[in-house]
Amino acid sequence: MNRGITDPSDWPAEFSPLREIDSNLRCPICKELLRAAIMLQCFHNFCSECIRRHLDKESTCPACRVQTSTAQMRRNVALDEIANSFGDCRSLLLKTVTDSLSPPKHTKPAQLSRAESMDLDDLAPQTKRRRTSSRISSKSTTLSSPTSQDTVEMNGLVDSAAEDDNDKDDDFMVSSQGSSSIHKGKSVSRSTAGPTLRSRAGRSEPPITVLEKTPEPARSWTTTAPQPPSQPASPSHVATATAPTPPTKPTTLVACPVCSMGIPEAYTNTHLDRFCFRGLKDPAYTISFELIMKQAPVVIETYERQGTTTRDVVGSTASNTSSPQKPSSSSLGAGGGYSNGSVAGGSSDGSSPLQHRTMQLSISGSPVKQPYPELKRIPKLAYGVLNEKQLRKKLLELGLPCHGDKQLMQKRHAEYVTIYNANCDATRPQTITQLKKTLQIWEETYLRDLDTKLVQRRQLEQQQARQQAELAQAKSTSADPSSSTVDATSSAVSTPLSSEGASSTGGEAGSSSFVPNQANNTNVAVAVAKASAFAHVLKYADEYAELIADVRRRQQIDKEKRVSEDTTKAE
Amino acid sequence: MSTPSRRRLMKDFKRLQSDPPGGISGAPCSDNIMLWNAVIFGPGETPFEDGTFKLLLQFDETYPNKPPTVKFVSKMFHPNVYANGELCLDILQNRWSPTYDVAAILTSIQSLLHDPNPNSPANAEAANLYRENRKEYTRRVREVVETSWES
Repeated sequence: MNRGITDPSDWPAEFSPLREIDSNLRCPICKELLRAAIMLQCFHNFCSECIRRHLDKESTCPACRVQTSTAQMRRNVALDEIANSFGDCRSLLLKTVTDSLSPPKHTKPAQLSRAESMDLDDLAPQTKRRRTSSRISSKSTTLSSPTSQDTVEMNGLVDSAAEDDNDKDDDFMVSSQGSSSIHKGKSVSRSTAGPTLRSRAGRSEPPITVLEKTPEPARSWTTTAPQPPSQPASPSHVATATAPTPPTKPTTLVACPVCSMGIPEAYTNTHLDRFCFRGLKDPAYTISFELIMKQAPVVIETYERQGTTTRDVVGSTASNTSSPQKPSSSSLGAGGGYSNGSVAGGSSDGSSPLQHRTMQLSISGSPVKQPYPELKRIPKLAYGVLNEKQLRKKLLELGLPCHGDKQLMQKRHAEYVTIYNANCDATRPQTITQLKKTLQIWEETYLRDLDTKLVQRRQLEQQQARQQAELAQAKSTSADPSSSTVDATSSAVSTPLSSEGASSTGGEAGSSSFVPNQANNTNVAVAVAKASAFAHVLKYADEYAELIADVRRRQQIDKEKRVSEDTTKAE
Repeated sequence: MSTPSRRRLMKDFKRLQSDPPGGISGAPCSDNIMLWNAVIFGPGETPFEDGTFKLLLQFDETYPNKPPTVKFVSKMFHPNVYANGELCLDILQNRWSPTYDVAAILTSIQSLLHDPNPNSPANAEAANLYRENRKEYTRRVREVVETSWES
């Protein structure tokens, strides 16, 4: 759900408090929304995985450089939950906010279908439900369009979205008010249009408004809205891919708290116990949801008979009550009982601590909160004292692959320990299977990175060698003038060396035989020898041959010039 | 293929685009997000004023836990820049923190142009001139500023 590249700057400048919220909920290391928030003693917060990776190598806070260690890490559960919830509603909120700035469109309800896993309890079923509250009406001024074409249903949708946002985040209210004052041009008409709109909506269906005025700002699942009996099919409870679709759709999808796949709500516990907790992939993902719904009651029944849960899940599907909140809220109201049951059941069948935890977390919204259990973390190993065999054994104990050399195994183990321990800090932990998949991706990346580095190092070496070769060539060219002056003077001062001899020998014999004979050209010769050795090694022979030819050509021209000068002088 | 480092670099890019600090710009190569080209404009009221200095930043999958390798591509005359363009900057070595992003790196380099540190010289000549003959130092810097416009 948080897979796009998001940034605080996504928020319009008018909503700067939202920008601040967004950036404060981000890890300073990975710049993503915090995952398993950890606070150090200097009160800086990081993702568990990021800070663990950092503290593996350093012992300072990345933000303020205060001395710290893994022992100082404390889970910041509240912050983590805020970050998670913010992540859940971010895309919808952003859409709402940006839409509120652009001229009103009549496609507003469509925006709500983008909701990913946001808890839109209020949304679909209660299109005719109303809650009046001054702050909500201030909100709706920016959201709802003042045009007369707006249907009552649409206003209902928008308002309940506003309500939802308000409940989630009070700062939003401030910012939206800010924006409405900023956008004076539009808002003058709008801010007045808001209340009138509302009253118009109220006039159109006054009995309902009066009936369902709920003064307390509580979440909808404690206050159940009466449903029109003409809609027996349960409307979408939590946002689905088709959130505001007609309420005739029978599927009620929720995000699985463990694997975050969309699953029918009634199927949640079955899904968790059968697949997620066992680290298996639910084959139902590939099956259409209609089919699941057909199968679900049967599965749930058998599941019930096993007596592993006290949660009343069948109620919401089998009887297909039109308000799914009621049964779930009642079961959640007895949250203590449920989780006690789950813990008892869990200990009797010896399930993993992760399982307990997730069971509890799946009801993390319940009024009775369980203490967050500390999970058993994998201790770090002193890799130095382990030999390859012992390390392999350790990997096998964790169910990890044990191929590769010691270094790779060590890296793999260390990485797994990091992500596993980080996962223990999460309020929405992943399954072991997912962790192993992450590890596999990490290993592929790591190996690819090693390869790239190797290639780069080779290229660098080649480049250096080439530079040396060029240096040698530069030497040889700089040696040229001196040798050619010698050659040029030779005709006058009768030195034994004949210039033409030198060049012709070189010219005929090529680079290898060019080297040794010429006593006077030692400099050139040595340079050329060195360079040609490089050239051979580096397989730059062709290039180098050109270089030599070039050197000779210049030598030749030089000589001819001097000779002609000499002759003119002599004349 | 998305890895944590690549995602982080995309975020850095987004940040640099949406909220660019003054006098710097940078972008990854179109085919390789791990390789960035950047330009730092010489800060005003320094000899580097008006220079457009190009840099190359090479990241790897250890980013942001390890710093990238940063190199000046343009010719540089600065006490803390080696002849091959590499920099002697603490935050790119032992003072690196994974909270830094590309904007932070480039801003630090920009401020390095402003305040050279002649105590850890990478270019001894520049360091000496900076300490002892500021006029000549300025002249040499102006030379590289002018060459920086050419390529």
